[in-house]
Amino acid sequence: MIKELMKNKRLYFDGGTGTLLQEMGLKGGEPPELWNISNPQKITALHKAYLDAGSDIISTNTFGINKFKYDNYEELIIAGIDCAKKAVGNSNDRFIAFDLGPSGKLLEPLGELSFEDAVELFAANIRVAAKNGADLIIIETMNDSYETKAAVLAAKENCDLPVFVTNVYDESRHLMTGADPKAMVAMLEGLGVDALGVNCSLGPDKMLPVVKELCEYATVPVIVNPNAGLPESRNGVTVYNVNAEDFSDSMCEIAHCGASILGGCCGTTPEFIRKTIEKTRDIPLKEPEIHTETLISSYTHAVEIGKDPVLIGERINPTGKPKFKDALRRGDINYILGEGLNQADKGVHILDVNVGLPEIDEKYMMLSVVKQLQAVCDLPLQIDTTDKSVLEAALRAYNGKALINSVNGDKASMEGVFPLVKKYGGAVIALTLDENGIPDTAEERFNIALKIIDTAKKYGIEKRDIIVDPLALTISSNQESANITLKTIKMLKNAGIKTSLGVSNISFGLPRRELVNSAFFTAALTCGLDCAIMNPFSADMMNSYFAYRALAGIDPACADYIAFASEIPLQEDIKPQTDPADLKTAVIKGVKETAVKAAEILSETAEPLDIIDKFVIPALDEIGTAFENKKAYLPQLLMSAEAASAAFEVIKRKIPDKAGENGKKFVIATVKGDIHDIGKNIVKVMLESYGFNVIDLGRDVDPKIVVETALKENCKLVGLSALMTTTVPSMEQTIALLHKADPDIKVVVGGAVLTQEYADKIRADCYAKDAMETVRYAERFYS
Amino acid sequence: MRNFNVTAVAVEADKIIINKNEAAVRLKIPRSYTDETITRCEENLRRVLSFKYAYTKVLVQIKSDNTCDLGFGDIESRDLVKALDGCKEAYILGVTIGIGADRLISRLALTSPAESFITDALASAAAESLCDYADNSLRGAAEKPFRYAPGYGDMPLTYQPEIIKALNADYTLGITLNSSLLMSPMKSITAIMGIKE
Repeated sequence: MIKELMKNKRLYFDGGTGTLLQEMGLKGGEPPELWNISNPQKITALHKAYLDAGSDIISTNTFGINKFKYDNYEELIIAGIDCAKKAVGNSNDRFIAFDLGPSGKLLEPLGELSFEDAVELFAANIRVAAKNGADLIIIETMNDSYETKAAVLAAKENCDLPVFVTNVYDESRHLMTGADPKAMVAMLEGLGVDALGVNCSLGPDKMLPVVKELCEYATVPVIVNPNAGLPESRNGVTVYNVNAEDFSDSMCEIAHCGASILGGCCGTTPEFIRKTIEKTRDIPLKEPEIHTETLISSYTHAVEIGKDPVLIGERINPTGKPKFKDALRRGDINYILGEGLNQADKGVHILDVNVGLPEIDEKYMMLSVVKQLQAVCDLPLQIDTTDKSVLEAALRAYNGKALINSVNGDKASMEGVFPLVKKYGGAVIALTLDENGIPDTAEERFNIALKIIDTAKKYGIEKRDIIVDPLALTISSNQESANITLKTIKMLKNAGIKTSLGVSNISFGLPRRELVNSAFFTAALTCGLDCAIMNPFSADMMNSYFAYRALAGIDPACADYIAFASEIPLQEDIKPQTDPADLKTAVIKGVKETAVKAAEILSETAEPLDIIDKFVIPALDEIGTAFENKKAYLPQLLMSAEAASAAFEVIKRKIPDKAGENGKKFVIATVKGDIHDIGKNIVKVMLESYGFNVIDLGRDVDPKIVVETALKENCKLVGLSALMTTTVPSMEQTIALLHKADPDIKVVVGGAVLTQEYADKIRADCYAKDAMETVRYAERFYS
Repeated sequence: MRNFNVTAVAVEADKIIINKNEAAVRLKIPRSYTDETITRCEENLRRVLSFKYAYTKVLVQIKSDNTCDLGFGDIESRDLVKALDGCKEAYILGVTIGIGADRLISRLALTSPAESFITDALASAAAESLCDYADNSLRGAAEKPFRYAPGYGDMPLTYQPEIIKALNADYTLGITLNSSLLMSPMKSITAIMGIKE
């Protein structure tokens, strides 16, 4: 009903509640939702005042209610909806929006509320609202994209009501946790919300840039519910600095930008709404536009496919990478995250994530990698899996609108993937193959693309969200391969279909593949290729990318090309490697790159253990002693340790049976409840620089996990860190459990709050006052 | 319920000079020491900072030498009572340098623990500097009563939720507490600051 109405008519929300309720006697600090039960007639009067002012939609007085805060949340919600129902009466063109506010907790990984717990928290409210007669759901004042997603999913999964969402943007046009309006449009429209927009935080004039961006990209109606300006304290009373007249003037401008649902937030009153309605009623609604842009997003920004070529980094993938496979088997997430961050540094726009390996739990691994990448890297992700349940888990946990790799023209593939795309949002790479395999002609591949797009449409997925990969097959077995692919790209381009390509398959079986790959990449870009799944560490591929953009006129003043080219060393600058003794100097000075190069040269001639004993360890000892004598400082010590660890990595590759890896194990963790891991990380780096195999369990680690790991790894040496007095009991508990599990296990503890006395009290085996002391203790342990 | 008497302020990045002494203490270096890595870390950190503070003014009721009330029930802390000695009013202040610093520090922990450590120290110093800036804006630059906070001296951290609530800090600053009462973003500070007549 409201969905039909909002197509043809500008609708109006109500405004603020705080000011009015305070006038009615609500005390500062008293939760207004309690009035749903104690003063229901006043809440109804407030709703009536807005209905009289002309509001089409009133929001229930339920913003602050959830089951964390109130055991009787159901009763409060039902009472709140009843107040609204009494105000609306029998009128059938006024609507009750169930108001859902943020949880007040930060979601994982930065906070500790899990995504699924957040979904369940919101779902509990939604179920009560849906059962008791709300007409729609308004999710409002959300300042985190991930929490917003949890709330929208909760609504979608627990009711059939229309879902409206408004977020809080600051003056820099971002949510508190980083997302910009374009990213929010991409994610929210992907999730299928019925209207989206902005509320609170700023006055209407300051909101204009956000509103413009929302209106430019949104296909659903845009909601704008601003504050009455900013709060000011006058004689101890808070007042907002924009009056109803100025507010409604600004709302006129906002209506002209294309926002079609208007209302107010903090500091606004029925007067503000009445004036806004008077002035904006006759402004015609914006004509719906056809949107062709393809957006995917992360928790900070959107990437648009179809304008400037987009690079998708392919390195998070075990295929053909023994080291990566090994990391997956060991559950070494940090290695995998490192692959992501290194590609980000190379300038890719999207990261492909493929962690499929027959012998591991792919779903668990995919979830871990997606969640943890989201904590450290702001690039959008491409979820790459053939397992439907893994895909669903990843799309659910993803903070944004993901790219999906992939679907194809096979009926079963489409039936598996499209319902998930519809539910969670996403753009999909569509491979031009089907039950009959890969066609040999461009025309047939093109037809499969059309079939996929048609089928997607039936699921409600737009053409712009299907990115067709016309498939590159190696030219070593079919000379026509490249021509067919390029022709297909041109046909797709002419039909307004976006394209992607896994470029490197083209050269399979040939020598010096990067030469062929980069030439083919340039040719494909010239035919209109929109994105490529590629290896950003290939200099030839990056050359092609930057040179093409400069040549195609999409790199203003060739600025990106020039910046890229200036980083490439000229041939004459590459000197043959210098003195191997540089390794020791490089470690002492803490220069990672030089240390790695020197170690590479040395490894060609010297025995691995010799290099360690003659260069690395003496260097570490020298800087370590200087540190202990206060002649060097902690930052220098750490840089040296990092350089030594990097050199170790090089040298280790030459050690045949990984003897160096398994000998000296050390399990390390920051204890449960404590999220400080800087000290723990320092100790880890120092230990690694001395060649210890450190099993790092991270921070906030459950005592049981520490014990299980020590037993599983058969490691008798454990290091625990705690920074807070509040978390020392959890350290004590971990130590007790370790000693109980195996009396031979030695536990070394450190951290800001600890002292020798404290360490003795909690029965630690050793107290180390700094990282060097931990190293010395560990060396003694293994000597 | 939002406290309607909270004022939130966004501070432009160039107003805050990171206190080098604070950083030096955390890095365990002499005050005069600096190097390329530290400079680079500061440049990268500055790109992700978002300085905000929020405050509210409250009445101070001293009930005994170890109990006072700032409007949300009795607080038992001899040290806080001392810090509020002779003050009829106080500011409750919250500051944060934003979630971007947390993300940068965790990211660096994977690529360079040394830079992660340095950036963490600089970020802590930045939060302290912001706190000084906010304090000076509110109480002036002259000597003033000691800034106090849950977790200092004998004032338990268990009062932190009340402070966060009084500032609507989840909304005004994006600060939330975990079950150990630690703040997120990590580089956030709360303070109770007595106002001398």
